[in-house]
Parts: sequence; C-alpha cells; structure tokens
Amino acid sequence: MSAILDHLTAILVGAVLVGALLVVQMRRQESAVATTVQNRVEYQTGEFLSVVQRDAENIRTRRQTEHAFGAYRFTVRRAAGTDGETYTSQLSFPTLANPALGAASPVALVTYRMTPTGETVRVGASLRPTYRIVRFAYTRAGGQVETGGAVGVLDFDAFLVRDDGSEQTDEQTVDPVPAQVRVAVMTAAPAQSRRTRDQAATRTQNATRRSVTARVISAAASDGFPPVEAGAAGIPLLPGDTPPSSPTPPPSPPI
Amino acid sequence: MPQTLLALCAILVFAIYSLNSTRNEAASERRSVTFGAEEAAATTARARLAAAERLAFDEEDVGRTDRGIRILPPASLVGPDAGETDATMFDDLDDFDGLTETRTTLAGSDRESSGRTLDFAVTYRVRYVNPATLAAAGGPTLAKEVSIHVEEVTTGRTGRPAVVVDLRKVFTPAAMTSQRR
Repeated sequence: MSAILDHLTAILVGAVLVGALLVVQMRRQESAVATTVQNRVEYQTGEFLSVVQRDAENIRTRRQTEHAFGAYRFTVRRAAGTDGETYTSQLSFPTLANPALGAASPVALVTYRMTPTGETVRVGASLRPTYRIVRFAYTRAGGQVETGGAVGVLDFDAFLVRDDGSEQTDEQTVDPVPAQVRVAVMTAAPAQSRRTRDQAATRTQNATRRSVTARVISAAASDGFPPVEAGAAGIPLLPGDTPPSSPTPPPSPPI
Repeated sequence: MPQTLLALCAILVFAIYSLNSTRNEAASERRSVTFGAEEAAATTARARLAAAERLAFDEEDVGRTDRGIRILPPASLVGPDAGETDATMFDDLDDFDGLTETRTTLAGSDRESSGRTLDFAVTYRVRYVNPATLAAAGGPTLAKEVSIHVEEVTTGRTGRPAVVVDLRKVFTPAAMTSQRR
C-alpha cells in the first residue's frame, strides 16, 4: 500500500498517457481506413465514367435507331433533390450493345437513372443526400437488363454539347445527336463516425468530383444500318417513366 | 524528484507522438485537396481541348460541306483572325494560339450553390507538325498540335503548390468533330 502511495503521481500520469495513446492510435487507424475507402470510391467513380464515356462515344443516330427498334429515344432529364440542388435524373440514348463488334453490333438503348437512396453522408460540415445511379440496357433480343451503376453519388450532371457549343441539359427528345457529351459525377465515401467534438474538424475531404467529355464519333462516322435483332419492335419504358411526347411531324410539302 | 522528471519525459514523448499523428492526418487531407484541384485542372484542360475540337481545322474549312481530298492550308500563319478577340468568336483551331484566359470550375465537394470555385489560367499554343513524326514543321501541314497549359490561380496561402496541368493533342482535318457531321 505504501508503495502505491509513494508512486501515485507516476501511476496517475502513466494511466492518463496510456489512455490518450490508445485514443490517438485508434484515430490513426480510422483515418487509414477512411483513406482506403476514399481511394476505392475514386477508383469506382473512374470506372463508372469510363463506361459512360464508351457508351457516349458510340451513340447511334435517329435513322440507325429507328431501323433497329422501329422507334427512337434520346432523353436527358433534370430534377431537384431534397437539398434543392438540381441534377440529371435520367439520361437515355441509343448506343452499341457491344462496342467491340463495331458496326456489326446491335443497338442497345442505355439509360442512366439517378434515384435517391434516402440516406445521407457527411461532407465537411453538412449532411448531403446520397443517390444511386443504375444503368439499364435494352436490346430487342435481351430485353431490359440492369447492368451496374454507381453508389454514394452526390451529384450527376450530363451536358449534351451541340455543334455550335450550346448545351442541352433537359430535353424530352434530343435530335440530332449531340457533337459531344460531357458528364460530371460527384461521389462521397462514408465519412468517419464523429464520436467526439474534436473529430468534427477532421477529414472533410471525402467527396470527389470527376468528369469526362466524350466525342460522339461513331454516329457520324458510320452511315450504315446496324443489324436488327429478333424481338418486338419499340422501346419499353422503365418503371415510373412517362412516355415521351411525339415530335411534331414536319409540314407536308405543297402540292 | 526523479518521479516528476520521468512523468514530464513521458508527457513530452506523448506530445511529440500526438503532434506527429496530427501532422500525418493534415498531410493526408492536403493530398486529398490537391488531388481535387488536379482533377479540376485536368477537367478544365480536357474541356478546353474538346471546345477546340468542335471548330474547323482551318479557316478555309469554315462552312465547307464537301468531303473531297483535303489540300494544305494556304498559309502557315496561326493565331486569331481579324475581329476574333475572344474564344467565343473563334471559328478554327489555330485561332487559340497565344490566347490566355481564366476559367472557373467546381472542385472537390463543392456544388453549384456553394459559390466556391477554383480559378485556372489557361494558355494555348498551336503549331503545325509533321503528321508522320509529330515534329514541328516549318510550313503548313495537315496536322496541328494544340498545347494547353493550365495553372491554378491561388489567392492567399494554401499550404500547397499551385496545380499545373499540360495537355497536348494533334488534330488532323479528319479528326475534327465539325468535319465528321
């Protein structure tokens, strides 16, 4: 007992330091995990944009799409999120189902649809709603198939750039096809849990914004018609979609 | 007394360790911020290259609709033509030569409504190159090289060097968007 009392100061100081050391060590581990998660999110965002870029580069013209499907759809829609920011809620366009086959590939109608997840992620000092982007691909032979997408999305913007440089961001029917397609995506990794007040000041950079500009090459370079697959003509709507309004027919030539 | 000295030493060692830990975390965050700025600079460079790509290869191609055999541009001059004072008035690729402009873009976690943006000084250089070797050519050829230098415009102390991105691309008449549509 006397030995404990003799070394009471040392014991108290030692205990406090060991406790503090454990806390610091734990924070370092959390930070390392957050960095790894952030790297994975950045990698996945890059992969997702590569897919969008490949699809956009192989966009088909109205003539080619109508030959393949008996119908045409090229839509870009915007919507407002719960935080008041607007984003591209849906982007649908005809492209090659298998770009590796080139002009011999059938046509697929690809749709990128962004939907709220109902969850939030902390970015800096604020909580932001997160979204999920799902890629649907429709072919006459294969029907409508969900083919991946992106999660943890904070923002998604698609700009369809015309020949004169003007941009379309909300169009029911895009015709003719744009010269370029620019897509920007912002994703966020789940932030570290904030157990104490001092952690509110740590690691605010968990969001990444990346973008690509794709030149629509194939639509203009290839005037030929794609192969027509077996299956019903027409393009079905996705659940929850409203049918696009028919374009105004051109005036009849004078007799 | 030795006990107090030992306790002070222990506190000192812990303080050094704790400071190092904080410094590592700050460095990690700084790297993340720098990555965001680099990505924004690269995006700016690619977007400007895409904007140049939409124009005609040469003044002579403006409004040209036939797709016959391309002849050499008549003059080796590059740079804006008379009356073309900013990028919105340019109609062919080499008009960008010598232009320096400031472009603003979003970065990292910022959104449109935040009002926080990054400014970049963008400088363009255009020259004729040999299509076979890509070496600089003395006269007009059917290949123009566009070099874009993007440098972050920083105000105040950021704790990191300004981000710089250089992008080059060689254009031929067949590669221009406007010629393929």
